[in-house]
Amino acid sequence: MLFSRHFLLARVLQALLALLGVATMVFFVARLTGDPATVFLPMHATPEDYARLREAWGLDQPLYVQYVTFLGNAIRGDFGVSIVAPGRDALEVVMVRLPATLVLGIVALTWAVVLGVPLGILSAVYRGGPIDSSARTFAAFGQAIPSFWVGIVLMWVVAVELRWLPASGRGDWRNLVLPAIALGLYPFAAVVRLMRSSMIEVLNRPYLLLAESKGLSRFRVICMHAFKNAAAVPLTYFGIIIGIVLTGSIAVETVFGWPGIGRLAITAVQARDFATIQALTIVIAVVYLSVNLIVDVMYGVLDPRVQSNGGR
Amino acid sequence: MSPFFRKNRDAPLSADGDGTAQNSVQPSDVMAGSDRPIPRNGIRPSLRAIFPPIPIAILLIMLVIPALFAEFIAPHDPFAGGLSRSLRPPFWEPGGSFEHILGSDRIGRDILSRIIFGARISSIVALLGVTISAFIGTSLGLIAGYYGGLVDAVVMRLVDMTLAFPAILLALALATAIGPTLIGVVIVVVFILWAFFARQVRGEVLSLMPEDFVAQARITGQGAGRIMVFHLLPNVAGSIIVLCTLQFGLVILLESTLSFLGVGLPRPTPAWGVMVADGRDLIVRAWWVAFFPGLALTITVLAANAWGDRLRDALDPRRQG
Repeated sequence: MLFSRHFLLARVLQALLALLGVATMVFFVARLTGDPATVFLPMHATPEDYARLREAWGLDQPLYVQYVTFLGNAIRGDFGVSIVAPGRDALEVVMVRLPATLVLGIVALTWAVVLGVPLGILSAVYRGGPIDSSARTFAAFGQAIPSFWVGIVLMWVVAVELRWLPASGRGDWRNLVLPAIALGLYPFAAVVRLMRSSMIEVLNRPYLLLAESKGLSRFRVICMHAFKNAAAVPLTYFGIIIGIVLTGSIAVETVFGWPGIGRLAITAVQARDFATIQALTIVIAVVYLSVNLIVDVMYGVLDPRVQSNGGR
Repeated sequence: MSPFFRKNRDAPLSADGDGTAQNSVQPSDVMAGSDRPIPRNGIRPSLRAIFPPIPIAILLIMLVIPALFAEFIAPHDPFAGGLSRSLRPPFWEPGGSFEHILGSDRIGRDILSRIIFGARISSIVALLGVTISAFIGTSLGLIAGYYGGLVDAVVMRLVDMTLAFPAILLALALATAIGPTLIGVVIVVVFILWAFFARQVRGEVLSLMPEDFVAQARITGQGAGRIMVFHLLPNVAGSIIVLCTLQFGLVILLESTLSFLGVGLPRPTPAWGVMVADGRDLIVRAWWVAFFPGLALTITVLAANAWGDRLRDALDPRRQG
């Protein structure tokens, strides 16, 4: 068996606890202004609307009763009625937009990893050489340039001045290129740096010398022996990278008019549509925590030592 | 020179307590923060290593001097416009003049002046965010590491939960409920950053606890608070400072992203993210409105990150090269 049942169970429980934390935060933020009804209803709402909402959400009840009602509704997927898409269920509005965001995020992360991992390895193997110094410079820029600004500049230069690719919207693959470049830049830089420093550490280990002295080719030693050990480390930071991609995605979608949940988020904030924001927050948290859970389990498989001490 | 680089010559390099995750990858490579304490070797790093000339010079020019003396340097009032001066190009473009060196925005406000005042906004958010996070995180890290047991378990669970939480969600919820404010931005920043400080400090305190000087302090009857502040804190101060510099650029980037999205600082604040947002739809007609604030942002973050990296290398000779 690849991983112990206890390890998996502990991870799932931890993720559920984190989800409860997110839900609790949303609950309290909605009550920061004093009367949550004002946060959930549009400005032109009638007193009857208010009465109906108070009834449905139990807003005249004590706080802990409201909290239980809220959690119960959340489990059933009821986050209230959307304002930006009037009359529609907030969760439904979010779910319709989710695939577009997932596609963009997956494409951006894929190119970041597919190009970043080999570049990080090359940078470590030829440490101090021209590949290394250019990779490091590129990575330094990748971590300093804001994704929203790079998106705007790309749109201006590539789409408007050069007319190579469409500037915005969602049609075929060409619409995906620029947003994916803008969004993938930060994770790409992070993967290069993590892979490089982890590889440098591994390359100094004696077992690599042993592998090489047994007559294995250098290529084989690096790809089979060193890489397997070095890859576990960048994986631990993948969760943090995904959090950053999430934030970047909202900005990049706004720039390119990509019809995902990022743009929905901004429209909802501007309309003060708390029901949609509430549904969105929970959906994003579920996606984020699931990905982290998968990464954790993968890490446990790569480095079985993690499992025995609860992954700390 | 300073109390930051003394003692602890022989402290173990790892303070994970369980001996796993011995790696030299610094999460600053992703985000500031570390599982592994930043070790000190007792050698005092040179002034040049602590203040690398190029990043420091860039930070002074881009951030510190404009933030302190914006009123005296800026050629124009950052809020005053005039439709007659709308969308003037920078001086080298046709139709540009030295009145607006980097051009003007849609309502005629001077871009350069707004960038200069923007440095003040970025500095305030970054300083407040990093300082408050460092204070909260260090306090909790000291307490968790010193007392251990249940206290430690609770603090570390909180750290894990915070790190497993995408901060943008809090930013969205806060902005929807109370609107975009400076305080909201600082709350969001502190909400994420404290955990990195707590984790780092707790790890180092754990490694210091078996040391003789802690036992001696106890024997002489000093209280827990006194031991934490006067004996443990000076030993972890060096890595707290490294963490602060590493997170400085990150906070500036985060604040500008939130401001760009309309969930950070409100209009018409001359924050760099707000300015890029103002110029977004104008990029074809007037590229300078969005371009220059973003460039200022990139250069500043680049310099701040470079300083943090250098400082970490200076305090950790194993990572040089």
